[in-house]
Amino acid sequence: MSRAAPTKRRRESRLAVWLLAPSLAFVALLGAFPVLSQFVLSFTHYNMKFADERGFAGLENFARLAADATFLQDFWQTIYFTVISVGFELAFGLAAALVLNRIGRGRAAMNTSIVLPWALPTVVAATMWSLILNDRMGLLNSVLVKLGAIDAPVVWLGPGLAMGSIILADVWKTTPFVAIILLAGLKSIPDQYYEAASLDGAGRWHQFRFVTVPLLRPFIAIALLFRTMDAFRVFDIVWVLTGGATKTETLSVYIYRMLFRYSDLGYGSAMTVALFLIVFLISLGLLKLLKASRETV
Amino acid sequence: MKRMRLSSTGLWITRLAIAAACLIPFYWLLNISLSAPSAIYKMPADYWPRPPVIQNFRAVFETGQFPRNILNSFIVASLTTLLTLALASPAAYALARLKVRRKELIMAVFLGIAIFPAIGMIGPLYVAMARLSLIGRYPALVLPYTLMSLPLAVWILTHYFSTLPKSLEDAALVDGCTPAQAFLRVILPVSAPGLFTSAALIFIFAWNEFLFALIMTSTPESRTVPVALALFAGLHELPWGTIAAATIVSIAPVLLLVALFQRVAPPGSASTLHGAMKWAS
Repeated sequence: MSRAAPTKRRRESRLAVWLLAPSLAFVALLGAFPVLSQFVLSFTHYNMKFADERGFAGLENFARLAADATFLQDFWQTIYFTVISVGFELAFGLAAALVLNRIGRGRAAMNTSIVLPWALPTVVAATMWSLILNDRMGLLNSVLVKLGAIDAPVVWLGPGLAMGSIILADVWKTTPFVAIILLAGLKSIPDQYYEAASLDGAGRWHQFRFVTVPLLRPFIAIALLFRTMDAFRVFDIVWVLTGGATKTETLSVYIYRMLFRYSDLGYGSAMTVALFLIVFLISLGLLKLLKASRETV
Repeated sequence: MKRMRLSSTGLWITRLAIAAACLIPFYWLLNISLSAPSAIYKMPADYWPRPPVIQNFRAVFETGQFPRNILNSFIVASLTTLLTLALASPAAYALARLKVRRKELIMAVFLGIAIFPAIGMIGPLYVAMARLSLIGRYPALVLPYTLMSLPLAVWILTHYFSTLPKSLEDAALVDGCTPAQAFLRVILPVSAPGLFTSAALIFIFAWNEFLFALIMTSTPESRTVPVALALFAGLHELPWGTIAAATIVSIAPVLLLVALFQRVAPPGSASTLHGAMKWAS
């Protein structure tokens, strides 16, 4: 027995190494290279179209970035997209979660309907919305004209309105994700809390304010974190609906243009690193918020 | 009890409104896909196809590469799912059940990969794949997708394995199994629900992914469904009916998966919840 125990433990840790080795090797081989090379490239001049002018750039790419009017404009447009769309997604997601909680009959049908937009490829969802928003044949224009709300079809994806239309499509697509997380949060609140509150004479508003909201706060923070990170890196929906035209270009779309249209790997990488740092800082801030919200519970 | 009865009509109206908001775009898509090209450009539009035609669906399968694109998507998503599970489940078992040194560091590496923006990996991975002359071939998509879905799969499975009773392995060991055999013959089979949940999430992610698919494919024959759909518009002069029909066709597999997923892991179930919690902390 006394000899068998260490052998067994050693055998166990040897097995653990063998079990972990493949996935760690995979991550090291495939993941470390792109992450590190992105940082290295951001300090070089490297345009694939002028490959012989390759060389060390120091911080020049980042200096160029700070003075790049397009980058700054896209940065603000990305912030606008993120704040508005995530704001609506949280509001609608919370409302949906509240009315879908404790649903009895029709649960499967409701669940399938709200999961569907989320499970749909963003490109497909965007195509669908471009059919609805179309100014020559779209459902929205048709209905609004019939109702007398507008006199003539509106170019929803044209100047001035395009960003709003993109936000509408994104809210439709990702509100379900928020609703599902918040629904899980609501289900984790024990019924006794509501019973106790109502014994104490708390009305529905007070129950919501003093039971639901505090206990749901960590879940709201999680939804906020995931959605903000994703919204800040948004690409597909913008790409399909407008291609970044008429003041709708986001940072990811600009990076895509720089890397794959202009083949400027050095400058494109510097933008990528900047985007990474921005998203990193935002998630750090939100994680702090998440921790704080946990401590108050 | 009282507060539920009071507002149950209002609740149901709101619920139906939510379902309608989710489903109306699908109705419009179906309407256009079944309309003749001449009937599409009408203002006010027809709210149902008169008469319904199937020529758009026929066009999807006769002209162009769309069947090939569906096959590509299916192969890429399946291979990604298999490879990810093959890598993630042993790792997750070790992390959940065995003595592992520097467990936190290993988890941090996986999390770091998940947080790094995909757009930052595309450039270097493109260069790597080009060097290996894999552009336009399945590995150029399967390998990056596996990298991106590995962290989530490792996490979900680690959580799942740690909820299984320890007596399962003990019984297997007493019966003379080695620890490796206990994992393969006892733990994996009883973990089917956890494996299926991960598989469904990975498959949907790979089926839907657009950015890598756009860049790593070079020819119409090598494109996956999302890329083919996005580039449909550029090929001809906006054949909206065909685009709508192709979109409907591409939804079908996702619909099937959602239905299956409902059975195994209803949305808002404990496993998704704890996944999200642990992920963010």
